Amino acid sequence: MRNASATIYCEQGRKEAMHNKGAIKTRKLPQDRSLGRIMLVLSLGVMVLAIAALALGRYYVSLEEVVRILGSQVWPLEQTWDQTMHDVVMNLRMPRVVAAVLVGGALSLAGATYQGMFENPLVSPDILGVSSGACVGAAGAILLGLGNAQIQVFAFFGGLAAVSLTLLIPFLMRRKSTIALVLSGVIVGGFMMSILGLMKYIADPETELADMVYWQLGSIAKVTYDNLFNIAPIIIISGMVLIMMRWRINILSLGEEQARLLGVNLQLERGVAIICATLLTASAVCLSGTVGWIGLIMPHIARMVVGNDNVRLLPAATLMSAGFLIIIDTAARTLTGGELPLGILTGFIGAPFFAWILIKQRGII
Amino acid sequence: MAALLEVNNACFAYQDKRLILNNVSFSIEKGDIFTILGPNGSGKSTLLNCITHLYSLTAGEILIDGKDVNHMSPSQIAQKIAYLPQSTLVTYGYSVREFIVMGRAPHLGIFSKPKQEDYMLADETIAMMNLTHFAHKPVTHISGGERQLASIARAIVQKPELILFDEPTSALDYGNQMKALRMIKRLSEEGYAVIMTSHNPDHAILLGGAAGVLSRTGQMETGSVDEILEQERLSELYGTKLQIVYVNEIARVACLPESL
Repeated sequence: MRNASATIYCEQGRKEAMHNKGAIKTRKLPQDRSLGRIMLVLSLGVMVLAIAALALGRYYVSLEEVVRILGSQVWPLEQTWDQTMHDVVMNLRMPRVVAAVLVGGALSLAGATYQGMFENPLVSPDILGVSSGACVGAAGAILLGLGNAQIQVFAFFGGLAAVSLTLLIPFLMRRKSTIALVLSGVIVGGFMMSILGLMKYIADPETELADMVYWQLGSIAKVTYDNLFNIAPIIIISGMVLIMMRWRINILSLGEEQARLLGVNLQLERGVAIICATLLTASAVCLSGTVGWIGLIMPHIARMVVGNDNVRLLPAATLMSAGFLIIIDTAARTLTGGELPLGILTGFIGAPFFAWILIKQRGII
Repeated sequence: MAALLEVNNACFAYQDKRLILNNVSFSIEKGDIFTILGPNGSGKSTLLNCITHLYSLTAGEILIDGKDVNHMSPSQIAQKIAYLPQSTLVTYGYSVREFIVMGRAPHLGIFSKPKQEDYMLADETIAMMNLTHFAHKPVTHISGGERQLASIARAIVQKPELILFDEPTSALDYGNQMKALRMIKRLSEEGYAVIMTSHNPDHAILLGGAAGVLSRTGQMETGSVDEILEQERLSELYGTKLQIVYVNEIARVACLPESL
């Protein structure tokens, strides 16, 4: 009679299995326990960083007042703060902190998903051309003299249009392989960069060109509650779908052939992951412009802490990246008298960090 | 009652139109061992890829429990058939335990992750196969032999009825080759049907059961190992003089080359 669990390879092994069976039944799985603890610590860390970011800036508000102002949104508290403090915390800094959490989390989640799905730890969320497409969309809106809200809309749909083009090429080739998709992403990314170059060439160097360059360097200084209400649902829903299918990304990371042999419907599951990761990246880019390195390095840092299993990696990378972008954005508005673009700061941290990874892993590279 | 696997007049050609499989037919029941022999490039791996529907036949049919493989979803196929390719390359250092529990994928939906009973099944298999000493090592940091064992454990956790081995001994030293063959024999004794490809006719003799000899023209002759492994047929197949001889000291027939 065939039964895998009854397969007896040796008496010793069987006894050990019976012993373990009893032990495992009575306790929680170790990976669930550690995941819960790690998520709790990381969530608390993000909350602490968010409160600190609301306090810090040229106009300092004490931590106690920040907590009271936040508390007053829920409970009736005696007012010990003035209106300026309230406006700085709730109207100036809060949208930035929420945007940092959403953008940081979205880029890292998309990056970790792509790194798993394309079996390559050096992949960034832009692999299918979404950021370069968003840049072209935003640059087009700037050339047309449109406002901030329209720039975001153009960026979002520019990103989606670029990815659609990337998906179209393998379809025309009648090839479903990962390599065809990645090559197509390289082609579309390169083409978008050429269009962007042309747009920069014809742009007014005093106004439009400066706006394009600043947008490309990334900033969440202009984010409003209206922007957040429009974009947050897309990020939250796409993010939830990816978090729910995170174990399946383990299977996709074994490669196309192995995944199919393990019963994965490649077209469907890879399609869902690509759609969600693209929506996350396009939403993040339309809120902040292009913020490089985060989607590439944060999954690596998370991997060092929680390991390679995407069940733990995806939520950990999302939270760690949210916290990291809060720190970067706070530094961007406090380090100098002006506003530093986020892309510059993430580049200063990301490039040396990547060099450090290369040196550390020299034995296997 | 339908056979577990039926391959009827299977034909397969790549884009250059050269026929790799030419009217191949055989069937497998539970507990059978079937060894496919043939020279390099004769289509042994292609045949396994067609059985798992990684490739689609150009003509003929493959039935699993009477159902045409063309009309089965990947998860339905994977619930019946586990396939161990020649090498399993893994990019990320999942622990061996995490790697083994991935065998539960055909039984879980897109938004599911393994439950306690899935991990229990993996842990039982790890213990029964004596893999405990490397169960928590990264799968990228274990030897080829250990990875082969981990892949077999993953196949068992998959709970299939048929296991396909594509040249399971090709990357192993002599001792590990014998271990792998013993494992395959034992799986068949447990009730799994096994199809294995091999370059070594002696492996078919050691395992017994049935064998198929796939020639470069894509045609396959099948029969019991005793019937099919004739020295003229094998010598012609491999283009070298081979002898099937009874060796008194080991009390069995063996396939040996005459000379260099």
